[in-house]
Amino acid sequence: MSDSFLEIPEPSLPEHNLLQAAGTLPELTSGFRERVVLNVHQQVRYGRWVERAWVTGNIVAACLVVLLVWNFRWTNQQTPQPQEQRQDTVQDDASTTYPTYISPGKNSDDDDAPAQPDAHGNSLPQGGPSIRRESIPEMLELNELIEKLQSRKHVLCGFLPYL
Amino acid sequence: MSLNHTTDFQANFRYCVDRLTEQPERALTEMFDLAAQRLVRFAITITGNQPDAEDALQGAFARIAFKPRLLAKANAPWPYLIRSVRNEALRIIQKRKGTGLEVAERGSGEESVASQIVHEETADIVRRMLKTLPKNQYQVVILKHWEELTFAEIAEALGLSPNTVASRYRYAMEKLQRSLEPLVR
Repeated sequence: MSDSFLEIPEPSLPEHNLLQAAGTLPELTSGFRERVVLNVHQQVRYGRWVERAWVTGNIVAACLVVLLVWNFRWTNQQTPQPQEQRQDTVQDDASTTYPTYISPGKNSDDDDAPAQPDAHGNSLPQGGPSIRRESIPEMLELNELIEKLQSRKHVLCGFLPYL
Repeated sequence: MSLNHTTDFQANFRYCVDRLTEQPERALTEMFDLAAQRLVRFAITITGNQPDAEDALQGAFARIAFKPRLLAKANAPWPYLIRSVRNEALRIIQKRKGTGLEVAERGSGEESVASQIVHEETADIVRRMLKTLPKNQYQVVILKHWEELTFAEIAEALGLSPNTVASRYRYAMEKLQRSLEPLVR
């Protein structure tokens, strides 16, 4: 047998020469080359597109995972807060969406106190007569409903849309 | 086929492979110009006819164009490409069987090859004798003598062990030597 290191060729018998001489190359069909080249170009472009899409998809998926983990941890840190502070948060959120809502944590004496003047010293406009939240059952139900919504918001990592 | 010719072919093929990742379209086009006829010649040994062999070659090139890195990173690119063509040819044969179409029989392949050979009567006889070999031995002899691959490369191309390849080659050559004896004299 041959040895590539010593550059010894393989023994060549007459049969081998006959076999090699019989190995003529076939003529390719006309138009075959153009067909293959066109197909190759298409496949190269398609392969590049698939590769880019795959990389982009992976990056987006990784970003989503990081965002979800970060958001979940952030909301977990926010959850164990003291009761009073949580109620204040409820009041703040509710005040933006429900102007007439009054927080249960607020002292009832504050309702009777005169309104504080604004930065220019003008007194703020007063509403109607003060409403005792405790005395209205609808307000109690509304308060419970808002607290439930708030707790769901924590569970869903803050993805619950604002009303 | 001289040794220099084979060395030139392998050097040019290696050059094409090296440029596959940078300029895949150009490298594959040059690779096609370089190796298409050899690969079709090999694929004919599996499919038995030239149209199917060309389809196999087109499929193999399309697969490589989709992921050129597979060929660029192969340890032995030429046997890898031969193996790709072989897989495509086998797939085409399988598809023909599945659709109920008959695979081209050895006889019809013989006719198509014989019709292409007009001038070389001896070469024609040798080819006919080659075709009398079992298909697995036939492929080994073709890859050994026409593509000038080593047993290790043939084993890589056919997905066999080098010992199996060597024994098939030995059996095939024993038969061929008996058949070719009148021509050698």
